[in-house]
Amino acid sequence: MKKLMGVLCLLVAFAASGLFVPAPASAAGVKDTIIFAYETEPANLSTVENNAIAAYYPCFMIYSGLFKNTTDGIEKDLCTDYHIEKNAQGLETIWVFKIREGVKFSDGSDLTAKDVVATLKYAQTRPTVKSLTNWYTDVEAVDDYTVKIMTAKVFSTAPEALSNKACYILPSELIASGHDFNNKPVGSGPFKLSKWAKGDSITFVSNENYYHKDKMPKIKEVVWKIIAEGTSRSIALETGEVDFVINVDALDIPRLQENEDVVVSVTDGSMFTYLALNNAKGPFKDENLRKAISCAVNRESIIAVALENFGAPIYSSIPIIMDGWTMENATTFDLDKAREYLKTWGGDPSSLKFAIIVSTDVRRRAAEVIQSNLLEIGINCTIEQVDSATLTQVYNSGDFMSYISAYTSNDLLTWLNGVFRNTGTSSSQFRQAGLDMNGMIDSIAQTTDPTARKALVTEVNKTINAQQPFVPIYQSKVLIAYNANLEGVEIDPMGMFRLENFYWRK
Amino acid sequence: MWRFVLKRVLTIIPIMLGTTFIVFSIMSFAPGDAVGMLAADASQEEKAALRQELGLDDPLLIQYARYIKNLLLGDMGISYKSGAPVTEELAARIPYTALLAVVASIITIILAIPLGVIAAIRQNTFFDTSSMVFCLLGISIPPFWLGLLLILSFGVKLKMLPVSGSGSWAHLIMPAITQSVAGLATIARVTRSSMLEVIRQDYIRTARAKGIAYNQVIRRHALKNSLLPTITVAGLQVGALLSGAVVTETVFSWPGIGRFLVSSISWRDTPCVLGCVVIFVLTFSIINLIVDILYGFVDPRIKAIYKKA
Repeated sequence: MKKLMGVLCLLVAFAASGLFVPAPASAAGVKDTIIFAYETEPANLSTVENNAIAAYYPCFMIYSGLFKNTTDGIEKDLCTDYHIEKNAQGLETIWVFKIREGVKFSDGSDLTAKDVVATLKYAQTRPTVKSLTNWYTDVEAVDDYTVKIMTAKVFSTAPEALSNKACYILPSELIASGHDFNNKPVGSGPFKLSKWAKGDSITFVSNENYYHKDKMPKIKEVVWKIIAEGTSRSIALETGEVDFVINVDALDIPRLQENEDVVVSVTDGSMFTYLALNNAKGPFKDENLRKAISCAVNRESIIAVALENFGAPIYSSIPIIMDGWTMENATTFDLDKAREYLKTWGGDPSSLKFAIIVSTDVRRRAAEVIQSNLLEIGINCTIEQVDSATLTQVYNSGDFMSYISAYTSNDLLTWLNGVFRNTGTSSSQFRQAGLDMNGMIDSIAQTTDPTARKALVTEVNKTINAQQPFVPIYQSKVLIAYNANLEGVEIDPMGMFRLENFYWRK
Repeated sequence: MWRFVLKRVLTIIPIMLGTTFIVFSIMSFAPGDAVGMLAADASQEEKAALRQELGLDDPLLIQYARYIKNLLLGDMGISYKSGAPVTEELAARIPYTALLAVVASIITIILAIPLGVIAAIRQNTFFDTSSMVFCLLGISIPPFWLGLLLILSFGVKLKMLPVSGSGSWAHLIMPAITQSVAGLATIARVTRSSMLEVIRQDYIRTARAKGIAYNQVIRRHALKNSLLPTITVAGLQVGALLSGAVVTETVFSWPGIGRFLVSSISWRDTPCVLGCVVIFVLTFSIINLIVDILYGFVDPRIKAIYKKA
C-alpha cells in the first residue's frame, strides 16, 4: 500500500511538472509584463468568427484596421488619407483609401491593398459578422496602396464601420489558404499571440514588426488571465497577482478605493440598458401604455439597487454620448403622468399579465425594482430569469411581452442598426412602434454633412422618443481597477483601451 | 475475474449511447442555439447559412448518428464556440481537473480513514465529538464560501498562497483543500459508523480474548472488514472529483473541465457538452469497475462470486 501511494505521488508530481510552467522573468528591476484579469475567455481570436465583446480586447492587440477607435473618436490607423468619389449617377458611393506603406504583418509579410481587398471580401462571407460588413457592395485595389470601396447607397460612416474588428486586415495569402486565424492569428497590431493556455490565460508578446515605431509597446508581454468570479478578480489585484481588472464588481469598489496601490477608474459607459416591450402584439402596441410604464419606472432606484449607484439614468432613446442626442419628447419618472397615460390608454391595469424576462442577476434586480414600481400604478408583472441563449431565442421568436437587454457601440449607426433595424428575425422588429426605423437609419447613413447629420439624428431621436418603443433604463459606468504604477491608461465608453499606450512608472 | 472485467467494460457501450443520446436530446430541445449566440444580430438568411455550416439544419437523429460515427473514429467534433476540435479543448483542461481530483482524493482518503477509525475506537471521547463536529461542518459548508474564506485568510491576510490561477504547486493547495473537505467529512463519517459496527462483532471480541494487541486487532481484523462501505463512498467521491468541480474551479479560476462544461452549456455548444459527458461516463465507469475489483480484494467472498460469474 505504501509503495502504491509512493508511486501515485510520484506520478502526480510528474504530471504537475508539465502543467506548472514558471512565469517568465523580466530583466532585473524593470517590469515589462502586465497581467489582466477578465471574466470570460474569448471564444475565438479570429476577427470574423464571433462578435462578443471578450474577443475585441485581444483583436485590438493582434490586428489593426484602416481606422481605429480611441477615446478621442475615430482615428486613421492603416489608412493615411481618404476621400469620397461620385458614381455614374452622381451619388457619393465610392470611398477611396490610401494605405500606409511599409506596414508588415507579424509573420513578416508586407501589408498591401491586396490584403485589404481580400479581408473585406472574406469578412462578407462570414455570417457571424455579416451585419457589420453588409454596407459595401464591392472592394477593389487601384494600386498597391490604394483601395476603393463601393457602397450601394450613400454611406456616411465608412471610417466608423471600418474601425470594427470585423474589418481588421488579414494577410490575403493566408485567407486563400484557409489559415486557422483562431489558433494562429496573424495581424499587424502591436502584439502577437505567444501562448494560449485554454481556460486559463492567453499570453501576447510585442510585435517587433509593428509599423508605428513611435508607439511600439513599452510593455513587452501581456498575460490575459481568465478569472470568472468578480471578487476573485478584485482580490487578485489587491494581492498583486494581476495588474489590471476589467469589469470590477460594484460591491468591491469602495474597498479598492481605499487601497493606495490601486487606481479605480469609474467612467461613463455606452452600454445602454432598456426594458423592451413587444410593440408588435398585445397591449404594448398602444404607445400610451408604453409611456405609462416609462413614467412609472424609477431609474434612480434601479441604479441604487442593481448597480450600487454606478450608472446613469436614461430617458431618451439613443445613448447620451451620441452626437445629436436630445431629451425632447422623452418621458421621465412621474407617477401622476403615468396614471394620466393609463387613463388615455383606457384599459384596466390590473388585467395586464406579463413577465419581464432577464438573463443576469443585475438585470433581475433591476426587474424587481420595475416590478414594485409598476405595482404603484396597478400593474402586476412577474420576472423570469433564463440564460442568454434562451433569451436570444425568445426575443428572436417574438414570443415575449417584455425583457431587459442592453447594447453598446461607440458608433451611432452600428448602435441604431443593432437596436432598431428590422432584420426579420432580430428583436428589433418588435421595437418598430409603427415607425419606419430602417428608413430613418438609412437617411442618417446617407447624410455626409456632419451638421445636417447631427440635426437629422436629433429629429430621429425626437421621433423615437415620441413613440416610446421601449423604456430606456440606465447606462452603466465602466468600472476598471489597476495597479497604481501603471501609466497611459485611457478607457473609452465601451470599456476599451489601447494597450500600446500603457507603461510602468519607473 | 477477467471475464467479469470484460463484461463490465462492455456495459460501458450502452451506458455511453444512452447518456450521450439523452444529453444530445436535452441540448437540442433546450431553447436557443449556438447560432443565436454566435451571430445574435444576423438576419434570418445569415443565421440559416451558419446553421447549415454547422450541420444544425439536419434532422436530429442524423446529427446524432453522425456524432456517434465520428466518435467511434476518435473525432469528437468541432466546438461551435471556438471552432477548435473538441479533443483539443478537452485535452487542454483534463490534466488540470485530473491533477486537482487526484490531489484532493489523496488528501481525502489519507485523512478521512484514520479520522473515522480513531473516532470509532475512541467513541464518545473529546476526539470523537470534535472530529464529528468537524465532519458536520465539512459537509455543511458550501465550497464557494469555504474557498473565499481560504482566499481571504491565506491569500489576502497572510499572503502565503496565490489566490487564483494554476501556475505552480502553491496554486493547487487551496483548491485541493476546498475540494477535499466535503468528501473527507463524508468518508470519515461512513468509516466511523462502519468501524463501530465491526468492532462490536464476536470475532473481534474473540481476537481480543486471545490476547492480541488492540491496535493489531483493529489493523488486521477490523479495518479491512469495515472498508466496504468506505470504498463505495470513496469511489463515488473520486468519480465526482474527476468530473470537474464547477464551484471550486470558478472561485480559484482553475482551468478545469467543470467550468468548461458550464460555459459550453450556456453557449449551446453541443459537441463540447457531449465531449465532457463522454469523459464523465468513462471516468465513472472505470472508477466503478475499480471499486468492484477492490471489493474482491477486501472481501474474499465477493472475489469468489466474481470467479463463479
